[in-house]
Amino acid sequence: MLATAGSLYVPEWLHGRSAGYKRGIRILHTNDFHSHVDPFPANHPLHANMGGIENLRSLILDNRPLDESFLLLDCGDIFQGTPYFNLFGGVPEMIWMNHAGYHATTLGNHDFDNGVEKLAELLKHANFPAVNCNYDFHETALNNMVKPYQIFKRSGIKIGITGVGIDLDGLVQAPLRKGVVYRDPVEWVQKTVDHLRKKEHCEMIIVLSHLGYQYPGNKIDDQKLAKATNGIDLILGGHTHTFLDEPVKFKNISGKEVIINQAGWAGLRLGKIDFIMDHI
Amino acid sequence: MKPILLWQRIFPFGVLVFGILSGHSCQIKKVSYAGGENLKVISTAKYDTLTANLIKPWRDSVAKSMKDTIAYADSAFLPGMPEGNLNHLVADLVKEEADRFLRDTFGYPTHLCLLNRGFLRNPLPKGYITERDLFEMMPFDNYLVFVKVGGATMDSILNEIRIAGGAVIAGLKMEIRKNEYFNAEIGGFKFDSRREYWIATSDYLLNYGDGFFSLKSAMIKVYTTKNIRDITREGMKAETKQYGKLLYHNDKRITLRKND
Repeated sequence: MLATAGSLYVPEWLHGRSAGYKRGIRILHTNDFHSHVDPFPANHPLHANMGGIENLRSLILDNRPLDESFLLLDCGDIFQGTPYFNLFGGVPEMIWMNHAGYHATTLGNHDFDNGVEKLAELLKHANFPAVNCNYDFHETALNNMVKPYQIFKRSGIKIGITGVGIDLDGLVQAPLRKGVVYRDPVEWVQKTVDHLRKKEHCEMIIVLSHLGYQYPGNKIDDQKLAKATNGIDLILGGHTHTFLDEPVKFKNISGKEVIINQAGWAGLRLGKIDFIMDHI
Repeated sequence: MKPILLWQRIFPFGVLVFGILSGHSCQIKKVSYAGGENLKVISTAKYDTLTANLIKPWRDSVAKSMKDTIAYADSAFLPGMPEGNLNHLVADLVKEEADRFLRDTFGYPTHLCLLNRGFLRNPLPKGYITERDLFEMMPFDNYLVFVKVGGATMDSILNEIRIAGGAVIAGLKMEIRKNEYFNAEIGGFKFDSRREYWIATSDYLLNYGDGFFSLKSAMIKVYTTKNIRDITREGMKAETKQYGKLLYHNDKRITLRKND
């Protein structure tokens, strides 16, 4: 599928335009970074010397196409987990994400750990949008700062990206999420996807999720979201810190394919997913 | 009648030529998944100096303020479900301080310590444990609280531990199956639903749950200003000073049983 040129990937679709008009887009993504700016130490029992923003950026540069036919996305819980957050309140993480060139993120429960006002302050410094469609922020400092969706044009097509978050009750202390109203993920994702498909004429839909990959029972997760909705091409997940070897295919409510992926946590994995556009 | 401008004459033709040459007049047929993988982020020969320079001021500051050694471990401590040796270490250190505080203040013992597994974010490595290791193991600023609960509430809490699939506990032994807990012992005695129990826990768990919602129905709640990370640090320091290392706490506290 992919050809390499030196150390830089050159997706096949860049060569294939004259033969069948195939073009493509690459999605690179992370989730649950949790302030892991540095690699895990050499004596770490599980992840010795892995992760770290220098290594992550090298991998991003090695795997991004030479043109702009890619998106770098994140699925929330950027903050909390190392002294970087305790000491600096999220500033280095924002600097890192701007530097890496992220195109969009969504919000995880730990992104509220210093409260809605502090999160709003941090997002003012982000060069990329935060998207979420199922939290109502009207009564908070995040109103108009978190968008229900963002549309990107890549490889000649319109890509609609929305985000969906977990119920914060029981996860985030009430004063820190004051005014944030949680709404049904399936209902609000479907509404947003319908809008993006029908009104905005998006040809590809990506959901950045912080629901979690899979739970027993009725608790909403990425798999249940995929199966209960229509029109989503790709769900990128977070929250459960799930290490998948590769993306997994599911069927949506109409029997069409939905891809789900999650890339561990702490910058230990970089998800890489390719899509091809067939033109008539 | 208005004259037809030059651009108005050529514009339709221009669009047609552009469309034929570029292929952009065609419609998207479909977007197809073409493959994917999750790449391991490991160190490479190509060190990203630009990023290193960008983060250097923050990194230097973290290194400076987090370098102190606070304990020694001759093997790693791992968190786990339903239990893990890190769960036991932390719960025992917190219960020890909670016992001291509650006896000094009210003259009562603490029957058990209960914290949530999500409170422990990282293992403790083998070797010298630094302030940074402590922060990465326990980044949250949670405070010690005491609650006094009746037997019915205690029964609900034991069920919540079962539903959670484990916890960070001291002073409690129990066996759990999918739909029930059994053989519960608190403080070495069989759980008695007619008794009242003092539980040491965190303000986060008491107020915001993480599945342990029964704590809210406690008869008495006592808040303290004792940060649980500070308690853990002092406990680890004292244990290392006394024994030369952190002690292992390998006793069985929560046992998973298969359903019959």
